[in-house]
Amino acid sequence: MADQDFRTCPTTGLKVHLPAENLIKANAVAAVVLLLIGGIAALGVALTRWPAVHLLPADWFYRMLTLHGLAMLIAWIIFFEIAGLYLGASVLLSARLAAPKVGWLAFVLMVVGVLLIAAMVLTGQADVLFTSYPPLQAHPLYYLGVILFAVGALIGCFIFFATLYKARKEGTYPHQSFPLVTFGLACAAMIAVVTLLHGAAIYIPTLLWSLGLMGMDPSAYRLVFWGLGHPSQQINVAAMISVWYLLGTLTVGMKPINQKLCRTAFVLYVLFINVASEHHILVDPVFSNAHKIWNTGYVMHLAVLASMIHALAVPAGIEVALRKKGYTSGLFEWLKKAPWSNPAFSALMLSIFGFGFMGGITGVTFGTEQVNITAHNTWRITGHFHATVVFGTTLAFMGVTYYVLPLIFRREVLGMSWAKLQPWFFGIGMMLVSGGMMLAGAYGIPRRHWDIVNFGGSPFAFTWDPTVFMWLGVFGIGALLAAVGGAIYILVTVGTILFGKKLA
Amino acid sequence: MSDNNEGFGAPGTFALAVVFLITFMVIYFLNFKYLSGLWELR
Repeated sequence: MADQDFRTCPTTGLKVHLPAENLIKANAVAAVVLLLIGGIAALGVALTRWPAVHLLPADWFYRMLTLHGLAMLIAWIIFFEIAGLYLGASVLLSARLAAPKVGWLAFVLMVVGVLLIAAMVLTGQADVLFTSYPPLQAHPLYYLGVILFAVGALIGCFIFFATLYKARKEGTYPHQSFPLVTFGLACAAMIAVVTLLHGAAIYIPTLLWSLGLMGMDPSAYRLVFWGLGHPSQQINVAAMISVWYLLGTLTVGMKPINQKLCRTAFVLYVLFINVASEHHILVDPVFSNAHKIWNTGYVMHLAVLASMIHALAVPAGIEVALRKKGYTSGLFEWLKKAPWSNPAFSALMLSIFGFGFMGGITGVTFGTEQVNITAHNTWRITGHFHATVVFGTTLAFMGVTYYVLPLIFRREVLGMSWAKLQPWFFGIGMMLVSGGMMLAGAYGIPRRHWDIVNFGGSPFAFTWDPTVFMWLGVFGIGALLAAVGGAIYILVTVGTILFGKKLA
Repeated sequence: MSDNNEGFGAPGTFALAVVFLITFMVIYFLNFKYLSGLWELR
């Protein structure tokens, strides 16, 4: 092992492979840029769906909605996860990253893919929303962009696996098995491979269809698409939970209360989470009930069981660690005296609440076939996944950034007093966004619609219960608060990278 | 329960888990109640 390729972090003692460090930096910066783009689009969408403002015209609303979905659900999160995979395999195991040059090729493919997608969406040639269900058709370059991005991400996953193999072969870490965080990331990467292969299975034929070279069966598209669409969010779940364990360790010195149980829970994700993606098509008349019930009535709960285990194991690990520090009075002294002023810790705890309480409970409920009949295609579903993916995953990723900045970028976090407020603005904002969406959705407010007051001048008048407008207001205020939290995150991150005090 | 690592070491988390389960049961029940209101059996 060439030692000149490594440096040792003075704080954590971790050996950092310099080519890996550069790739982590590039992927993390791309992630933050895409968070900014997706966030601006989110604000446009939110201020349009809030009837008191109704900002954008219809065409730009759907354009921004498409951009928001792709920039946030796919680009920001997957760039960040690729950075996380390189960190988990190389830095945490003190190993050399396998094939850094191929890593750069993967990065370039992902960037080119994102640029193609953004160009097609912003020029009005891909107003197809995140799902891009046929017969809606986008410009072929849009589908090509998605394919290039997916291929880049897939290469990133293989580099991760190759690095694990090298680390194991060279014996770079002291224990027999990988650390739990790396194990969780490995499960995320396995889910990613299956997910991205589903992506290839559906987007390559769709590209050929857009070129007029073949036909397209919309129902087959819907079935295979969700093999990509839902598991892509399960990569996030596995990666987010790995980040929870990492943050618990970094913030309070947590140790997992039962390693075997936690690892088994990660394996449950790998085995069952992809099969459970059928809850997206529960009201689709094409697929049989037996098929749907098997997926959502049985298999889904094995994946949910995994989340329940983690949602118990992480807070329990934190409690045990804090009780060891002497906070043993009553049931909740440990919680009261926890390091809430550390933005990484507050982001972790808010993320657990958002994902577990708000997203988890509603996810299981809405994924039940009977209940789904009333919830499907209403804003309740949108509220659910904003609780999981944004309140949960995005906030956890924001939290870990406060450790990535000094470890990888070697800069002291700039504006720490603002950083301390950031998770609260973002977390409370997203709580109001998700809650407002779910409660307005319970009155029947549809997802995706540009004009829920007049329905674009439709001759069929509909009068909502006035309570709906209160929940839409709650949503709008929440969106503004979350936007402030997102803006602080971007300012602190970019400010630290550009102007933060250099660390040794 | 004691503080010397004997028995279950995270009683606060256990209490929070109970709150979680009760919340889940209430929300699940309310959703089925809402559904039963839409699909009345006559």
